Amino acid sequence: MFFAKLGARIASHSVAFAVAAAATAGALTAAEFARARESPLFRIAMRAEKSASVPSTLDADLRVIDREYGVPTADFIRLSLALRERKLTEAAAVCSRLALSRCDPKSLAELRETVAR
Amino acid sequence: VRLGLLLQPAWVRVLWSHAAAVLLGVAAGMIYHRAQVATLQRTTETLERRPHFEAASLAYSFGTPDQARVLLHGLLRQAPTSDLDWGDRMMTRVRLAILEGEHLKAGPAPHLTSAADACRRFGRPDCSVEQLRELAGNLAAARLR
Repeated sequence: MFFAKLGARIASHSVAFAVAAAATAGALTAAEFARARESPLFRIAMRAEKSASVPSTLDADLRVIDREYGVPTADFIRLSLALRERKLTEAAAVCSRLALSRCDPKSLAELRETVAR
Repeated sequence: VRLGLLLQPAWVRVLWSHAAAVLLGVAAGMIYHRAQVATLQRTTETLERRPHFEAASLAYSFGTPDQARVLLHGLLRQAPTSDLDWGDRMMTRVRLAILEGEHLKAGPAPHLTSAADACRRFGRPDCSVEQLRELAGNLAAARLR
């Protein structure tokens, strides 16, 4: 009887300890990711990795990036994303806007290889 | 206090001891997070740099020199935090050196000197400016093809 009670006490205290430790570490890690998600570049990176946990704020994020890093940073990032997502029509439009020398399908495939590398 | 605790009913003692276990758990969670946070931050910062680095690679390979300069200089504003980032920093400096023609002439080469520093932090064995000048020459030839 004594050992059964002791065992139950040890188990319940261990559970309380483990749940508290896991919840604290999890909450702090989640806070760290929330801080990272405030950066437009991180949100774009998550989009490129096809993460569903990031809201779709691409246009707003790219505007911030152009303000912060200068034109044409955002357009090249948009081109890189379009190539990753195989949106070749959008990629061709961005390619023309950037006045790159070759925006035909064969050259876009070459660009895609550069992104994939 | 000990005597007071012993005089409490059993369920109160159990409550107190569980509260103590929870507090210890919170402390352990914080210690664990503190030990892991640097790795976590390095990972998120490396991820954050990826889209910009890819865009800069596209600009360097297929854009005009002016477009490439804007993106490559933008990359320099983000401080490297991991070994991988130092490798990217080395490539960024080598590409800027190519755009400025540092590989074509002897004499002061600020981008190649910075590339050599990044190369050492990246852990490469041979990081002399001359070695990087040769690398820049080869990459420049590949860019023109």
